[in-house]
Amino acid sequence: MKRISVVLLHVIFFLFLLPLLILAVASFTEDGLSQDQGVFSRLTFQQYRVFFQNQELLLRFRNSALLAGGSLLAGLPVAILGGFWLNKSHCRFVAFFRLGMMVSLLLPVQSVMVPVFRFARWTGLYGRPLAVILMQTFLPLGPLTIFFLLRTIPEEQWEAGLLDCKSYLRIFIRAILPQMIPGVMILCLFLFAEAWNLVEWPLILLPEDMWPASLALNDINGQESHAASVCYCLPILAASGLMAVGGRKKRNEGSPLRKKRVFLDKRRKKRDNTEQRLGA
Amino acid sequence: MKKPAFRSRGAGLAGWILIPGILACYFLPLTMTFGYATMNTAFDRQFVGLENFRYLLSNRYFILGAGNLLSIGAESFTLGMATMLGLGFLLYSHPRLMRRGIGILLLPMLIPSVSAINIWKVVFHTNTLMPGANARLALITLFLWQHTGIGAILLALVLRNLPGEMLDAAALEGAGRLRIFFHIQLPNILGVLAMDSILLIMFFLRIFKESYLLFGQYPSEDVYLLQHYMNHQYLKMNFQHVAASAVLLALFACVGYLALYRLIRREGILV
Repeated sequence: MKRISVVLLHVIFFLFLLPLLILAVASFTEDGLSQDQGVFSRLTFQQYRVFFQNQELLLRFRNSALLAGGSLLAGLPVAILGGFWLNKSHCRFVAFFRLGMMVSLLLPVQSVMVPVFRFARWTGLYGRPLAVILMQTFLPLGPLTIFFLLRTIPEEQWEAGLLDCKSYLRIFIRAILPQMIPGVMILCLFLFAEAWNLVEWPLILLPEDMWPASLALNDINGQESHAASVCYCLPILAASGLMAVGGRKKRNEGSPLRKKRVFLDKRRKKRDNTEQRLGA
Repeated sequence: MKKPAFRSRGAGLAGWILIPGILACYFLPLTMTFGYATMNTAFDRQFVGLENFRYLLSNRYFILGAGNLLSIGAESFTLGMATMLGLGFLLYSHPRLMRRGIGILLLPMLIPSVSAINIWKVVFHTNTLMPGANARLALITLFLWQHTGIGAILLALVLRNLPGEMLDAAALEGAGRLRIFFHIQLPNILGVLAMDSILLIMFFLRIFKESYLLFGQYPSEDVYLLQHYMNHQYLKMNFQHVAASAVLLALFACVGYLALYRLIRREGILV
């Protein structure tokens, strides 16, 4: 029974990876997954060659990078400071604010698109990447994630910090934030993925020539569509891979306390060996 | 003793960065949406009460979109919950595969929709005039692939944190697997199931992106969602109808969320 469930789990893992594998293989064929062919023709880099010669598509990739990079750079400090404020402020208004943020996070974009569009026209932000970056910067996901991460930190740590300095913000930056680095890194990945995958806001707030690749890729029916799709996944895959490697390295290294214990164990073993040799 | 609101200027400053942004980008627009829904047009701003809602409820395409949203949503939700439960228990019973599973199951959520849709388009032939069942299947399978992983992982993690002694004691008393599931595990995972439900509803209400990329602006009637109707009205600059639809959608979503949120709070996952 156990063996069957292991096999089943591996089959499910494979099914989850299958679309990505098909996409990767299709990008190395000449015709991609053409509907009448169905079978892969010979392997080639033709799609990638065409893709890297398509200047307009590369420009869309640049637009995507600008939007995602800008959103991440502006959104991360807002998320960290906003989450800290949501956690440490004790006035009643914050609870309502937090609830409002949760509701905004859960509602679809369509529920606010008309006022946002009019607001962007009124402020002159319409047609500028800054409009999209601002919407992503104040995405409720970031501050709420930091808020929930901070809830896992015991209150005693804050109190211990207050013995040395009187500023909550300073304690947060110097003592609490370094403990939350893995969570913050995952948040970074999600914020980047969210901005890299944008469709609705650019559709509403930007003219067609400024659309990111997430919109432009959908319109290309040429040879290079699969290669372009693979290239569009690469930043996300690279970031996830780096994070996994970093996490594993950190786990292997362990905490400073564990490192010290390992060092002391080694020294004790060495001393025992030397004593044994001397005794012999 | 009453705690002070802030102990430093820095903490207050952190709040003043967040508040105006969230107010301007989300709260104010949401309030304005409610206002536009009761106006003649968004330009002359004449108060018409519930006239826009009356118009919507008699509009064929609004009813079609809302009906499809509910029916496809119900199908996706049921299948999504079943997948999450099955996958969550499978992951829980194989802790050694948990880490690998987290990496693989989270990947579809991070991958840009436009890349995944490239495959779905070819497999389900969405760029031809396809029969309805095929179109629905394409949308639902894409939804399940993208969004069930995270729920399964949450479920497996909560199951792993259940005290093992409790399950061992029940097994010693002669309780079978089904009995352990219904009497011990299920009551303990109700909170996370509610959270998974909220996530599924949230992701489903945002499925317009995938639908737009799969079928374009004008899909067949079988996958014509309320969001398509809103998008068309938006392009025609009938902002008052978009706003009225948004209010109905928001109210519908809030009722569902509040019911589930109460369950989550009772289980002590969120405060």
